Amino acid sequence: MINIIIQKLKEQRNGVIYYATGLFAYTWLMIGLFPSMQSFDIDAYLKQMPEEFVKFFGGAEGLQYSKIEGFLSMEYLSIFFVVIITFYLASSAGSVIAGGIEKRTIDFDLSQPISRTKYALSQFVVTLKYSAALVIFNILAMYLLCLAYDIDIKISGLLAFGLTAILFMWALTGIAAFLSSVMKSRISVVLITVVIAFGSYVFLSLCNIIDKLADFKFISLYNLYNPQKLLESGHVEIKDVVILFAIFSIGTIASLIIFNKKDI
Amino acid sequence: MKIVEINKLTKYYNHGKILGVKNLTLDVDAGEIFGFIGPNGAGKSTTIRLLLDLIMPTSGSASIFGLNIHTDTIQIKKNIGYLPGEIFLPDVLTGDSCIKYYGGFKQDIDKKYLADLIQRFDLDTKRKVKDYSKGNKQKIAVVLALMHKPKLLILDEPTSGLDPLNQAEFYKIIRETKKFGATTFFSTHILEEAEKLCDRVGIIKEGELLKIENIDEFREKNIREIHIDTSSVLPLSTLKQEGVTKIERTTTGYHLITTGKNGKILQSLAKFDIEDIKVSEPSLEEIFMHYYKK
Repeated sequence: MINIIIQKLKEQRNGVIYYATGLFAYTWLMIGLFPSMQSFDIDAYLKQMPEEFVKFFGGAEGLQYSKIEGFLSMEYLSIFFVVIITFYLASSAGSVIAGGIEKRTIDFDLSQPISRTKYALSQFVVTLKYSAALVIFNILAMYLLCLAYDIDIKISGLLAFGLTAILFMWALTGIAAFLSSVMKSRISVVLITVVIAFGSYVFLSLCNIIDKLADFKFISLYNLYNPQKLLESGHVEIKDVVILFAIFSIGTIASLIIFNKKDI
Repeated sequence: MKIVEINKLTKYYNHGKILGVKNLTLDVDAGEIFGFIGPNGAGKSTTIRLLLDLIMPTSGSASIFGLNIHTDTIQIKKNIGYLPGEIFLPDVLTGDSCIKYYGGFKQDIDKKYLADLIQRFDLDTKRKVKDYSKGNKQKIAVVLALMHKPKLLILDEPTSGLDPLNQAEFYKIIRETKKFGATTFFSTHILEEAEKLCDRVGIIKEGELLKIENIDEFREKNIREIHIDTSSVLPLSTLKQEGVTKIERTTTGYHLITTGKNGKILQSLAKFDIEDIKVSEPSLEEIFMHYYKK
């Protein structure tokens, strides 16, 4: 199991560095832009826009665009950040079973003395490690860049956001792991996982602007991930943590059960 | 001692619509090289995939080293070397890192033996696997299958991709594995390969085992195809010699399928105006049709 983890960490290291570099550059751009954005009365500008429009593009109730938490949430953390990391984690988790079958590397791997559970789990562990590392790296970057640009940001907010974001990514990893066990190609896993993540965002946005849908907010994964609220309050909802962890666990366990019964 | 025991093993794919193998029953003894011969789609790879627990049987059972192929698969695989017909390895790995990675699953790698295998195949292990030719990929696959001196070698059409020189080296290495007590189960559709290597052969077609034979019995059959190029009309009595199982008129002459020795027929043909004679191994389809009546 250890040799798989070491090998997969090595294999994915360069890719993860590229993702981290891209995220850092975007974080820098956003934080560097914030002081000049702050000089305008953006909130007043937003108030003039149709309410539905603002809500749809991440402007939840109480959004303060003039504060770094609101600005980062709307411009970066709500969707761009999630989609980028989802690309990584879905690609990584998707390559374990669906990708292995597609590339036919899984035959030789499974002829080695290792159980299917350990084989898949050791690779999912790598996905979990690197997706958590990307979130942590990004939080560090946000903190250091805010310091450099003399912008106040709460450490407790960053920590609360970090913990929830990691679990949110792990929940998506669980979904990708499940898809990997039932789909026939890695690209399908990536596309469907990204559609689920983005679809959740769109659905929650629709719930925010259509009254009839308001009661269905709980269906959206984004109901458990609100960057602005987390950054501002520094408070993690235990219920959200439990649900995100449950999604991750159920997805992973279902994936392992299916994989163990699957003809390769 | 039986190393592989297969009992009425059956596999259907696609919810019973496609047959893989049906009621397959055979044993492989310790130390023997057992050849599993059949045309493409006969069920050879299905059998191997069942033995490796890559697919689940529809019914029947099998054991290796007396252990159940499904429940004890990890224990079994510690002592197995598997060589697929075409290996797919992670592209990012070099030959060396492949050996290190897959060696990590095994215990007691004999480094001297490993170095010897690499040297015999003249394999450059510093290069990335994605840059290897098909032949080199097959060579690294042989090394990976053998480096831990397994007790059972499972080879699925192992020489595809190897040039004749490396094929010869491969046959030599497989024969040598008997020295460390290895048993070999290998599938092929090349008759000559089975004749060179095997102690016994199992003939499979359309998922069913037709016959198991000792290699001497099998060799004696010497099933051959003779193409005679001639513009003359040859009397049927000349062609209808003992052992000739098929006579066919072609646009360039005659096509015969023979078993046993071909001396008599060649002698009788010498009297006629023959432009060319080609003696070769017939296709397995041809053999099954005329010899095994299937």
